[in-house]
Amino acid sequence: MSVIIKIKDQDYFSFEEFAKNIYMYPDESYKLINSRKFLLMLKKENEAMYNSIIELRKSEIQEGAFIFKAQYVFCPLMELKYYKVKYFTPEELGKRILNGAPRIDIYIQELIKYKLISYYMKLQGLDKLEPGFYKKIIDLEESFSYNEIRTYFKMGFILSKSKEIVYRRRKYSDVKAFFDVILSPAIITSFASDFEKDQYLFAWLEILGYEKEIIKFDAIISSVEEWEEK
Amino acid sequence: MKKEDKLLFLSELVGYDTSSFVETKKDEFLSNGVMVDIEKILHEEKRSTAFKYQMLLSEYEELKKTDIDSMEKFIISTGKANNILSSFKNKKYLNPLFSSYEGDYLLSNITVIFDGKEIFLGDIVLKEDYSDSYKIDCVKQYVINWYREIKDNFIFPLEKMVVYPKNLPKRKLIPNAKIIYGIVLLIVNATLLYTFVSNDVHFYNALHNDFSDPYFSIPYIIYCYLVFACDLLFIYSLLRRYMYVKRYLEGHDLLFKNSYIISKKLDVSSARLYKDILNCIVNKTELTSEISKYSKLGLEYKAYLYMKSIDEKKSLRVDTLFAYEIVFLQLIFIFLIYFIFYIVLFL
Repeated sequence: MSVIIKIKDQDYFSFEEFAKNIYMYPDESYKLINSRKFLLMLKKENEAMYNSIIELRKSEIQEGAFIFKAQYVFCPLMELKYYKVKYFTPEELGKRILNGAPRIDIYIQELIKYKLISYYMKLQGLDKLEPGFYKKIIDLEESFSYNEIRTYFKMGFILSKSKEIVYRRRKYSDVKAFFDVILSPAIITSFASDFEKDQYLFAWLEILGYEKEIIKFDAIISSVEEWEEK
Repeated sequence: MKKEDKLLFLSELVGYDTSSFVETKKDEFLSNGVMVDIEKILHEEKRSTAFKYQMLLSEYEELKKTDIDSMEKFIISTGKANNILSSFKNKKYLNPLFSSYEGDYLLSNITVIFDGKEIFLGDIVLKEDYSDSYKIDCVKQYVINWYREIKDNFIFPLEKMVVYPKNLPKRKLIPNAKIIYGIVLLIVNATLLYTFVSNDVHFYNALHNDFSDPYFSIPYIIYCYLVFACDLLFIYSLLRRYMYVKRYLEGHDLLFKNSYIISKKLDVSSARLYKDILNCIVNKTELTSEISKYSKLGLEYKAYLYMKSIDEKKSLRVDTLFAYEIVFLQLIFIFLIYFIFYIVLFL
């Protein structure tokens, strides 16, 4: 097989090699893969891969999701890679989410939104190895549209298998200890100003099993706010 | 709602002990702007007889009694207070078919829910991005609800009272007992007048402060004052009776003889209200009528409330003074008997 794939000033001599670097040049790779010249070459060199890419073109609309899945067509056994970042394990992805909290990484958010984490896990056989864990990921991805930010942080807790919240560089696994800190007179006002917008605290409490309480909180607060708006 | 309060509420829900925070919330709830504003409105404005107004008032009274012992209660009570205040401020309780003090209120200013949002009735008529049929359906539902509210809270209970007035007493303006009493008092006054004009020396001396015969003079003077007091009491009780029984009889006649007409009045008002709003929607003209054009049952409802209070008390006590009148009359008779014996024995 004599393949030369050029991206920017880089040359790749196999599809596998190309696939391992797609994440570094997502926009350029997207244009290249969808070009007629590339598709003709792919069809000639590896019809199976060509068919997979054609199927992907028919189903995937979003550019990032297409590129993510395409890289695994060319090289199925690879770490999780997306938009210039590589994660050796899903756990590492989870830690990255939590380390950045309460800020959101929009590319990681895309992974959740387009259900790419579960796609990757299935590809790697993790759906059979850890079916319970895989189901949790599927469920979370399904619930993304109901509350994007909360789902994002819940994904972080589940992927990293952590039940600790980090606040001002300290870790808390106990609800009482955490609230003792944030409800103190010096901190309560500043924490309260953003806690609803951040959703980080809600995600942590749900992971600890307080889902019913959060649902009750949301219901009562939305009713009361509706009264106040009138 | 303060964000700190939300955070405290969340912490309480997940089991954190917020009792120290709740202590300060108790006072904050009663002295906060919302409760104070509600009190102000209730004191400054005339109380409406609208059914929803009474419900809001009851809700408010219940709210005042709420024991704030948790953040949840604080948040919910504050929300309820805001809702009540908004309802009072914007007169959301108004039913245009039934308003006693708000007659000059414009129909177009009544608040309704349209497409999930609060809006003035007048604004629905002028909305351009909705079809006429959609607006008509919304308005029709409101007219039906207003009509039903009056039917359920006034017409049906009134009809029940008319059919079965078990606790409503029969009353005459002036009963026979009062007439007999009056005649007796007249005779007593006539005999007293006779003693004033007679030439009898005993009466003359007593009237001119000559107490040479104290066993006659002093009782006679007391007797005069007693008759005078009895006269005043009789006149006062007569006037009082007249006032209450007249009101009762008028209310009784208004409702019992006219209950069918009252129901008809409501039907006519509702039809007129619906027609007027419909015309404005179809012709794209403004709603300019006042509520008084449709609200025609104020007098009847007041009479009904009065009759209802009598029905609930199971009596119409108007002659509460009659017992005193009887006592006075008995005292007069005692004195009369004394004079008769005195005259027979000593004079």
